Amino acid sequence: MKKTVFEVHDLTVAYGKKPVLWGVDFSIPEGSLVAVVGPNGAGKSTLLKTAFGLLKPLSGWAKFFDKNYSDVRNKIAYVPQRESVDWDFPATVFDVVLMGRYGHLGWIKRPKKSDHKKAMEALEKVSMVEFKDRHISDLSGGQQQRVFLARALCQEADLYFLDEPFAGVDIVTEKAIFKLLKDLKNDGKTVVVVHHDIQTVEEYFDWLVLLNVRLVASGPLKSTLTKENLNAAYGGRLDILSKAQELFANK
Amino acid sequence: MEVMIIVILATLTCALIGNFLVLRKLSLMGDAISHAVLFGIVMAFFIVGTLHSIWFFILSVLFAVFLGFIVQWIVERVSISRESIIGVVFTFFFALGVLLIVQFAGNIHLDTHAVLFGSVEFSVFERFVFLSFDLGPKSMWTLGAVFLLNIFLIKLFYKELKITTFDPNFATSVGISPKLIHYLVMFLTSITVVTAFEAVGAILVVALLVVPVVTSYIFNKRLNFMIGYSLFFALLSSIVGYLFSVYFDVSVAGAVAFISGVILCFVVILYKMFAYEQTN
Amino acid sequence: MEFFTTINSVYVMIGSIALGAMCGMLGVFGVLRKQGLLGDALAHAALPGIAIAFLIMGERILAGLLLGALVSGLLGAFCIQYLVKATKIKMDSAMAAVLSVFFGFGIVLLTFIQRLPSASKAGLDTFLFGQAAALLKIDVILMSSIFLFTLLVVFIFWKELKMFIFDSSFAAVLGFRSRFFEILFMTIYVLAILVSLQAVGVVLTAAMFITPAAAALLWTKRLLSAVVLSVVFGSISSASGAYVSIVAEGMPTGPVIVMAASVIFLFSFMFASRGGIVWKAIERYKYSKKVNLENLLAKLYRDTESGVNKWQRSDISLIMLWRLRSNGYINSGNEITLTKKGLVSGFKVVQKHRLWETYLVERMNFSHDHVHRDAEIMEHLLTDDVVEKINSILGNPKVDPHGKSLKMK
Repeated sequence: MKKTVFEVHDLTVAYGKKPVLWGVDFSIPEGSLVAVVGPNGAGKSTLLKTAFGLLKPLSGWAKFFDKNYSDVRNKIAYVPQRESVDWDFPATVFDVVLMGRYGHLGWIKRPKKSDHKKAMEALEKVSMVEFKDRHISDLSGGQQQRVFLARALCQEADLYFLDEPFAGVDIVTEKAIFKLLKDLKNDGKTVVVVHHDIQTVEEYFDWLVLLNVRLVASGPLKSTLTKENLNAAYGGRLDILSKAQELFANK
Repeated sequence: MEVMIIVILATLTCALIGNFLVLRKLSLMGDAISHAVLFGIVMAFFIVGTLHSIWFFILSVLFAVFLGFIVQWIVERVSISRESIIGVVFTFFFALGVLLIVQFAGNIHLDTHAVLFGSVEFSVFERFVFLSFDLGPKSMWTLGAVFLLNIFLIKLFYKELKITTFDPNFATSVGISPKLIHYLVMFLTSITVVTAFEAVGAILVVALLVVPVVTSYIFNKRLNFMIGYSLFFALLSSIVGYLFSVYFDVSVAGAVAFISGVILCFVVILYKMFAYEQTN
Repeated sequence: MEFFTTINSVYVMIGSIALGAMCGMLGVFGVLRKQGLLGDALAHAALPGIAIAFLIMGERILAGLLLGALVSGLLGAFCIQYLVKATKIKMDSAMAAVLSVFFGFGIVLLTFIQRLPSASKAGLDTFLFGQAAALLKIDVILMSSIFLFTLLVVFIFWKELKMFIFDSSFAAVLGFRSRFFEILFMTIYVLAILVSLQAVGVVLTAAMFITPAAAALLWTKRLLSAVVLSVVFGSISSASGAYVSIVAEGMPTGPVIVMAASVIFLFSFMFASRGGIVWKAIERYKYSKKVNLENLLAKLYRDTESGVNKWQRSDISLIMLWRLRSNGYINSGNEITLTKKGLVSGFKVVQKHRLWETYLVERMNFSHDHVHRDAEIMEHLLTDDVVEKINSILGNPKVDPHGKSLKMK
């Protein structure tokens, strides 16, 4: 029986006053390449943000390696959405990748030579070494994504969370990123991807979480990717749920 | 001469912390603090009774920090944009401050004009006397101290400032709290504004916080260069501005603000020319 | 009232009210577009224009000064747009930069003017903080005409303005020339700023455009009501300011108007239906009262399911007894019994609880032991129509996941 690396229990999270996640319950076994899929507003990004403490849940919890996030921070890497960042910030590609080491350094301490080395290695893995002194606003979408990925890689984590890494990315980069994720999995790491495209799920992932405010299904890809589940997730027969959300928000 | 030193120190200190205001899109918050602090200063003056005490300084700074909390508190409870709330709050306190000055400060050393536009020309008369040695104008020392404090704290928390400004979500995930850094920035801005206030007055602190920084922001790719150039532009603005004000016999603070704008214009023009060349 | 015997006071009042109304009206559009502080930037940017106009004309002719302010203000607006478009600089720093540089230049010019020997320069200072009492008849006529003009524009283009604010991208898709509206809006905005400069002054004009509008938006989200309310708030504020300015000599009008507007805002903040603190506290209290009552009814109903039909007075608190009785839920004597109404009401709460649990388990993949807490909350929130819907979706179930009955005894 594989170890559970990520577990969510009865998680209810509100955005503003409206609950966007309701009593969500699932766990992820070690070494999986997980796709978290669902329609817009389904709470996928919210799930990630809550896990890291960016949002406070109304109830429930999330555990990593059976512990609280703050205890195992250094084993986890989070790659946020590209739009959440201002790419006009004065930094080079190398500067951003180096930030991946900040978590290990903690407050006040400065990056050392060994940190610089790790950042370079990460850049090599994503084939961005020649861009290392380029300003980040001069990059294409795919290149920006690679920079984010390199930053995550030099965190040297065991569990990776990526929020829509393939949105607006060219096909070459997409394949390259997947290869990297596959390599991570082969190294025994676990990768969870909030994915926007249900079509490509079969090709790349081995575990599926279907989310639409509540958990629709979670399990190995082959058995979970069924017509019923997809219907339940994307079907839209959710008037009760949205009514309930509203009533809750207005209380 | 001493006046120029004070002006230079004020400009440098404001520019330094200004980098993080501009990058964190807090320019208007800086505007708000530098207006609303007038009220804090007037209240502190009434409570403490003199401009020359450390308590006066502390109370004023506390009020400035408090302002940020008020705005946040209101924003969380209503569905009106943050920017508008900032406008409501700071104009209220500023108006209150002006009214208090007009009503009550007739016979004390607060003068509307001086308070608002600075009286750096007169600040040289308050000396810092230590063991009966006249060490120079008091403002010079306070500004100097605040400048050094800013340098120290910014250097100390440099990477935290960097990461929380660039990607606050990522920062939280690696254990660096954007909230704490935000308080740090607000604190540094507050002490800077209160201190510079004496030299350049409430309204023009904004120019010093923003303009040299923005000039540097246009063409710099790395944070440390951006900060460096902003200090350079600040220095340039203050020296040229001071000379300008002496030559034409006009307000020092206004002149420095104006010159910093002229420098900005030059840089923008140069940048557009250079960028045009690059693409050709 | 002695106050109104001076014809001039009447004019000042009229002018101020027109001003407050106009700023209030336009302010709503500005605040909704999150451009409230743009008014601040433009007002500050107008200062050098006023000074230069004075230098050119040699004396204080209002129309000339306002023209200078207009040119200067528009130049400032142009600079802001240019900076944002041509460089990395973001809107907020562009506004702060232009605002302070132009203002600084204006101060330079003012101090320069101060050194000049001409006597009429004193009037320029009033542009900093405003002096409504200094308004002349001609000024008021000018202000009122501009007010009527803006009123007309807003009236004619009401539908378009509405669409433009709430979704300019949508409006563009419909073929609307949003560029035209940008300019139109900017122009009337600048005109209003100019007009307020004299009464409120450069430094505090921003408040005229933000505070009354923000206060109005606390009461309603509907555009028309917000505009009307904002006009009222704005007029009251500026009337107060004008009054004080006439009565107390030398008192700058701007700060007083801002204080009045802020007081209205504070009041709205505390009491207004949408955002009000006091209102929310009252709502919260009412809600908890409802919850307590329903919980008690539910408990009583559950007791009947186990066969208990009577309760002792001492089992229930006095307040709750009173509430139960006044709603007709109980018959009180030495012992308490439920009326038919009370029985049904109690059942309804329990039904909602159990029905929601059923829904969670069957449709939402919840496990049995996770549903109770959720249902505890939802039982007070679900409305009858939602209950019906759930019932029909689930096919009118008879028992909940714990085996408890969903039908009334």
